[in-house]
Amino acid sequence: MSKVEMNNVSLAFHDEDKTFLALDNINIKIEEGEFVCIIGTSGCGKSTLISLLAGLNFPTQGDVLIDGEPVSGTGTNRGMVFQHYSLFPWLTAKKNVAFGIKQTNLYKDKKIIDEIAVEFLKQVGLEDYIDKYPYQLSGGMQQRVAIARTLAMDTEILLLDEPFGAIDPKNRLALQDLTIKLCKKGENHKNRKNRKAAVFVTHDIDEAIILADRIVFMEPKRVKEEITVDFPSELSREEIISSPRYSEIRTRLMNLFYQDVGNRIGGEEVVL
Amino acid sequence: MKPNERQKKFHFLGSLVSLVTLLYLALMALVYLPGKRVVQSPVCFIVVATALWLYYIYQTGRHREKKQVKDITTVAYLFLIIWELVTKTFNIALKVLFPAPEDVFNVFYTERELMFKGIFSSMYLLLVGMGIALVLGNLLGLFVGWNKRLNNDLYPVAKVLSPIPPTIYTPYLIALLPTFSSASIAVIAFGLFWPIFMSMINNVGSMDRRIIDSARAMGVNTPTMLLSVILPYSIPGIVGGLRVQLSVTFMILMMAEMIGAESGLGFFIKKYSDYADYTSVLAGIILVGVVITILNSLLTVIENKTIKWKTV
Repeated sequence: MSKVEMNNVSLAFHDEDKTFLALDNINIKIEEGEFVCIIGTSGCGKSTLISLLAGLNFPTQGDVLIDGEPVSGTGTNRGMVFQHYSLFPWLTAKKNVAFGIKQTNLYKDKKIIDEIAVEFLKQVGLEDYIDKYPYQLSGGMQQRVAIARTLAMDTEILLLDEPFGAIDPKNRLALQDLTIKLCKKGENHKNRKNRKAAVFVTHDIDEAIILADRIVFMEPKRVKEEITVDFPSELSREEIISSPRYSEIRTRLMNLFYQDVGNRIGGEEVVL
Repeated sequence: MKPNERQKKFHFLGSLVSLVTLLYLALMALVYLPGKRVVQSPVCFIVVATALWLYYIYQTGRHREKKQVKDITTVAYLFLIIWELVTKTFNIALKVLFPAPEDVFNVFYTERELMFKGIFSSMYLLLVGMGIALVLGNLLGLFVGWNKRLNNDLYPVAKVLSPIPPTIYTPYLIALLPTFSSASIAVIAFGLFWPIFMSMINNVGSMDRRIIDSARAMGVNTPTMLLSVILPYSIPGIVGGLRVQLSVTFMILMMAEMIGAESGLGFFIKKYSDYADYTSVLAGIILVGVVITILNSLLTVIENKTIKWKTV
């Protein structure tokens, strides 16, 4: 049994007399501890797919299974980071993280919850900003808080919907490294390695290759191709980028994007 | 002496020797000089005029660029001087309708007991009525705004009921309810409930989807969503609305008190206007203005103390 399974999943939105098919017969399996990147052009259904996993939307056909159980709504076994920093503006960084921890019902003592919150903020490098409100933080810092909040909930599955889409290149690299360290290598827990299954939506090819164990390329509505990324985990970013396998995957993805664009211009739909 | 201190002293001297001080002294001279109309003790009036002047010195002495304070005090003194001239000094205006400032401010001394009693009874009705409307309006609005079916059912009803002016049913409620204070509280609570209820429903509807989704993704239950997510997000809107609601409440309250109270600010004014004692009526109007100003400044303090965040 896989950690996450999507079997023949389709989703249609009804709009009065029209029906719009957003996802068509999707089949994806994600194993325990696997980091999967979903890549594709805007409007191909990546974010819709992740909202199904989160339980914010439900399929019109097919099953979304987590640990073999169908998803019936949102739950504390999944944590989600959105593109737009969806922190609560009325809470400080610490209280935002604490809010997430409270939802898991793992701890009752307020003091312990606060301590855990501070610990996770330290891990994302925000120890000097724990009492700041979101409006006092930059976009990158807010996203760090959002990541800390999700990690602190200690969910089994991480869902990240273009989390670094609106962040400048320098901070983006730093946040990717942080994601590798905390999510992929699982160095977010004091006592044990805590590798989580993760689904990471992006439209950045390099980001996908650096982060993923497996890349799922989506053309509109469907999964077009799956590519396994098999770099040994001890390789540094520079070593990965300079390896021939990196250019191979990159070229493949580029070609897929070109084909996709070609198809759409040939067809009736042009979304760029 | 450090340059900073010297500058400070200069400020102080600058506000001492100024147009406002000149106007203040002119007014004091007019109060001292005998006029054509005989007036009562000028002590209260002198106290008020001097307090205004001290306030001006205090404000402008601290910050040089307090043009607003300068402008307002200048206009205030010009107004008081003209008032003094047409009443006491030259006695041009009709005595019944235009009492001298000395007489008006003297009422604050002679009627102090009735005034204090009035303030307390009015504040009691105001706070209880507003409190009921705030708690019920916001909680029910929160709940109805979140529940689609209740929202569809009740929003049209609220739309019909909320524009009915509370003053229309004030006499009926006063007749209906056993005591005057229960009637006033009911009128205030009922009149304020609808706008608060409607604006809370709108708050819930216009809430940032991203924040709702983010909360849902964390698996929050409905009570947490309403009380720990939507309510805190709406607090600035609620506090902002209080300012408008406060003046509406005052209108309702004064209206109610003029119909059937035995004490209160509105009652004070009504009582003396029945006797055509417009000196006391004017004092009552000034008192209401002062009370509203104090309540408004309290609101500002509450706003600054409680809301430390901004939307991103």
